[in-house]
Amino acid sequence: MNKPWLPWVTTPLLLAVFFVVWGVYVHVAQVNAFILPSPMSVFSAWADVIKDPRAWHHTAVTVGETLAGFCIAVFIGVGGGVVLGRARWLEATLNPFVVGLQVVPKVALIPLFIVWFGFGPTSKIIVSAVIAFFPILSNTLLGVKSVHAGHKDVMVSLNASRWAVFRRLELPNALPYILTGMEVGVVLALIGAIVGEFLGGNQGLGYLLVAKMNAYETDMLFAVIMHMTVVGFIFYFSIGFLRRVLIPWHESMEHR
Amino acid sequence: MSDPSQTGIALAGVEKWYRTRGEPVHALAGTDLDVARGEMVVLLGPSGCGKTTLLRMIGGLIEPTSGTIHVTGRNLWQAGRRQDAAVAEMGMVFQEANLFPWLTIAQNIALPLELRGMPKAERLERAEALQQLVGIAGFGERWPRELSGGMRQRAAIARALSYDPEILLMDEPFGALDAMTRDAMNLELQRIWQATGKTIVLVTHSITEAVFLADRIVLLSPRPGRIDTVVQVDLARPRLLDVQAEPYFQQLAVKLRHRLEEIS
Repeated sequence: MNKPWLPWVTTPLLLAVFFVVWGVYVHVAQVNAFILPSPMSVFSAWADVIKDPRAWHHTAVTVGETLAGFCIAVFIGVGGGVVLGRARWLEATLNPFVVGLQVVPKVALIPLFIVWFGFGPTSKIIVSAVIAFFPILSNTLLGVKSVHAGHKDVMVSLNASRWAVFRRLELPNALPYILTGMEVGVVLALIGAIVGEFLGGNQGLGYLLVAKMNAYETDMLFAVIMHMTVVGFIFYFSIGFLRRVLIPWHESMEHR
Repeated sequence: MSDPSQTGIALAGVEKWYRTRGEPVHALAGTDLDVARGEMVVLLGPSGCGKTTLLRMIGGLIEPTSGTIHVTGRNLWQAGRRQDAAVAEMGMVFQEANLFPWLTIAQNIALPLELRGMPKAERLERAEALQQLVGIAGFGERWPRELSGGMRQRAAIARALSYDPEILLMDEPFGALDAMTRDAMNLELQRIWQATGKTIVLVTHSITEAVFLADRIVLLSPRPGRIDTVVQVDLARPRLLDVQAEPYFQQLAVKLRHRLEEIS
């Protein structure tokens, strides 16, 4: 694409159109504010959220849980992917369990985690890590395994040690895959933390959302959703930033 | 056989069988070949004649089923173990440049030196000189994807030369390039060879390339791969591209083409 500025123009434009259509619809169709509040009242509710220090406390709790869970997921996912990618027999042995772990609806484990780890942040961190872990593991595994045969030949012809092959070839080769896994994983980590907060405890954005629902404050409900979305965006784009720093050589960084 | 310590490469009864799911495939029948130090030998043959297998065995990427390979007097395989000291005497260039996309051109060229533990300043200085030698000076800071195929292949040659090996093994190094770039690279290779005095073994299926570059052409026939004929090329150096118009060049090329058609 040779118009890098294009999304900077179209994105705000399309958002504006969306909010105008929403506002006009609510006004013309006389929709009950309890079902669908007008965008204006949602924005003013969001302004209240931003001004409220308690809301920032909830935000900090959720962000903290997400980051902690995500870091655990990266640590175990990358480590596990590297180990499984290098020891094929181990991958063959563990594969059914890895797939099984992926197939289990992990949110269904949340009540269990609450029983085991209580209503505090620990249970949310664990949920977050468990949900984010899989895409990071499978992408790392794919990255370590998909080393170009010609690159291996080069290392063999250079008498490279096993460690050098890992450090100079397999790891850098896997890095774009790992970052893709992290991009998916960080959003899942946030979802894990929020869903965990739905079910237990008295802090975090998930808790705040449930509290607003129980208070029948629909405009606040929307405002909290927007707030969460912004947090999600910040996480997602942080990984994009990491991508620019870590893999400027990759094809995906061309024309930037 | 001559004294292996005086030759660049000495092959004695080198044979290769591939064991696949079906019947074993006889890739290369017992092969004897001596390459003198400083000589440019071209392995020429149709596909399936085992020329790449032969080159990869010399380079230590594949172990022969039987026979011995001596590289500058060192036995390459001793009791089933590859001798790293013998491998270190050889630099390999493949059909694809196989540069690492996450390293700059200079870092790619210096990679073998890094693996040998040479300090950074020293190896980057050496990479600079090598870029000069292969004609890509000033491109050291670029990513491989930013260079053309011909320039990437020049960088691959520089990488193979970086640790100053005695021998350069080249597996269809210009096969993926267009005809004009290929001609230019043949000239360049001759220049680099004359400047460095390396022993070169090059695999190709281009008759023109073989006659233009070689001191000696080793023609291989397929099923199983074996040496068919060995032809001396008596053309003065440095050869220019116009040498292709000379009667001697053309007669030799025609003779090789006829023989290739007979054995294919």
